[in-house]
Amino acid sequence: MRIGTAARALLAGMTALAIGLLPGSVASADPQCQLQQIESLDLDTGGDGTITVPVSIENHPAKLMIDTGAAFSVVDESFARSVGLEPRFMGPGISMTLGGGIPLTQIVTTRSLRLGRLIGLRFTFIVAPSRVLTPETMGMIGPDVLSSYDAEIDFAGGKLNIFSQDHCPGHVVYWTQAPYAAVPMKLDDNRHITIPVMLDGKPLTAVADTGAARSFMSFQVAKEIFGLDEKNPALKSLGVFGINNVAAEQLFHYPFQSLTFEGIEIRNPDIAITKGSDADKDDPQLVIGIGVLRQLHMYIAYKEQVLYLTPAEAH
Amino acid sequence: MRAFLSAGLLCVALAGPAAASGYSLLNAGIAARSHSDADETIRLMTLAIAAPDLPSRFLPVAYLDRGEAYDDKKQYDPAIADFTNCLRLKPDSFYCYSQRASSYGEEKKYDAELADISAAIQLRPDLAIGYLMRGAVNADANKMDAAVADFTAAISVEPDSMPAYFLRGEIYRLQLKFDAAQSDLDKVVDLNPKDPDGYFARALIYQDLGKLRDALDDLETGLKYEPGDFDGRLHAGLVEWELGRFDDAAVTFEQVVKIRPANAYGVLWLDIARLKAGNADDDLLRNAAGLDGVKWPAPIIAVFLGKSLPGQAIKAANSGTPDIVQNQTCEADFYVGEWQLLHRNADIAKPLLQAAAANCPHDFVELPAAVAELKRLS
Repeated sequence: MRIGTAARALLAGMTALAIGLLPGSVASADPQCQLQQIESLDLDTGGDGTITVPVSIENHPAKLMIDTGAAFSVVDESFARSVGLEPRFMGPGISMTLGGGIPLTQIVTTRSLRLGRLIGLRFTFIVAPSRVLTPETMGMIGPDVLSSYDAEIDFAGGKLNIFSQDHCPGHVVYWTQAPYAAVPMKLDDNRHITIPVMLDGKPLTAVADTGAARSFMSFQVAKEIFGLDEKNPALKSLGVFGINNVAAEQLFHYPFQSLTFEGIEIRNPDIAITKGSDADKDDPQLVIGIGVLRQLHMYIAYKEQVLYLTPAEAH
Repeated sequence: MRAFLSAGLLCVALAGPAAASGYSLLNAGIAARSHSDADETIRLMTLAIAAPDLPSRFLPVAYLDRGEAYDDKKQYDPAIADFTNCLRLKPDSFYCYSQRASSYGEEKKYDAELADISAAIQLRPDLAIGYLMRGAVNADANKMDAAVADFTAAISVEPDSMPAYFLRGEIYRLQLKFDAAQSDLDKVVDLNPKDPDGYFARALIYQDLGKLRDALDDLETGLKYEPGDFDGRLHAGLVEWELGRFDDAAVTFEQVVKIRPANAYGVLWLDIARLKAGNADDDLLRNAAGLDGVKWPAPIIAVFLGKSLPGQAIKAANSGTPDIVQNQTCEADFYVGEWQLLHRNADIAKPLLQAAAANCPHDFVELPAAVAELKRLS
């Protein structure tokens, strides 16, 4: 999702308000540095591996996808209308686009959003056209919500655990005694998780995006860093695939050998190379999608700005 | 690399089947599905489902993805069994209902298909997609009023649903409700002015209304966006022919034959247009060499090639199921009528063209062509 300057300023104010109304039961910092778990939600896995959590919007049950690659939380327009929410335009001069170039121009403000015990009394969603999202989700929870907390995504265990950010640095990988990686992360203007990785021995800047069904890089990056072009015999066309059910890009597969995150290695990572428009200078070199991330157990320490990783089934 | 990882890299791999956990098999199966690799999806998901350590919460995904892979391979019975297992474990899965509906549809079990789509609609009554699916099934079953109701419901929840307007407009046209049809197709064009299908569909309505120049304008606009569209190009040639612009029609039919050389109708219309324009040549012989010499409309082509008599084509049309006989007879009446006209036998041609105008199905191109020819004759 890309967002123009005016929209960013407007929406930053909206989400700050909303998050302030998500109280939780956060205790003060524990002298023992123990983690304070605020909520634990069951994950549901879709056919493409993406994950949703049960929520309640205006007291109606719904499922929202966990999308660390979104800029803001999004709700499906038809669903919003069906629960009595009336979308309104953001205003003139405000531009936002969803992946695939879908224009987003409307917002809704809920009277009630519940994630387990977390309650937001006035939370603002960006409204997405109905045909964009899959029928098994009514929207997405983005970093505007997640980044107010620490978020542990236990794909194999089927849990999204939400913790207070009040803890000592480190001391978070509680689920295993096995080695783990602590990957320094930066948050961009949209609070995307930007991390250094090594792909086949080459350093890259990547974004961890749980909303992306695939991991991908542009042909431009593949050419500049790996010297790949369309004539490379190892490239295999995957065909043309849609993005958010509208735009379509031709995808290729290349047999990369190894993707490492500060010591955690994914062998034979499934990374598509996209033949679309050239990458923007602000685009990440690599987007790590759900297919790779599902092989990990993630703890996103947003405040500490460290991404803790172990293999998904480490315990 | 941090000190605590000094022992070396910790590997997370899509492990081989011998050592793989149920969870890693599931992930590998999802990856195979994303590559549209049906055989590998079935293999991996079968292993995942059988793995004793796969948590039961992942079974619906495994059944869904394997069911879709079976469906891709046109193995509908195991696909339906997998979607049924998915629904047993996850009764609120929109996809398992909609995918099972699709598999039922392939097996022509329309009642089961409709029941599953209705169940999917119950899960997401706010989405247009379910109504669109049910409308399409109803339209296929010739339940046009029910289909219109579904497409109208789709529009009520998604006011900019282009497919709903398109499909409802098509039904209105078949129901001869041309004003309503044109209104829906106007909306389709407004919603997506660069989509050629809206123009092509609206051209049919204009043609039905006798607004041939408007029809040609729409066809030319659509062809600007999709120059290689066979149906659009053929339709443009037919409208030019109806307008009596036989030279233009011949040029358009030349392009039609280039797009799809093995299509007998393109070859036939090119020959008719050239003969009408007074530009007869032996292209028909060359073009016909690449056509199926047995399959309909081969008996008609044979008449135009001078290899058989008109009566033989009329007789050949009378073979097959009642629907096929009706369609073939419509075509035989029209094309043999045209052949007779080209041979200056208007008295013989006229009753054949009248029969085509009276009996051709509404969506056959020979119907307006026969009407136009009779108008010229009168």
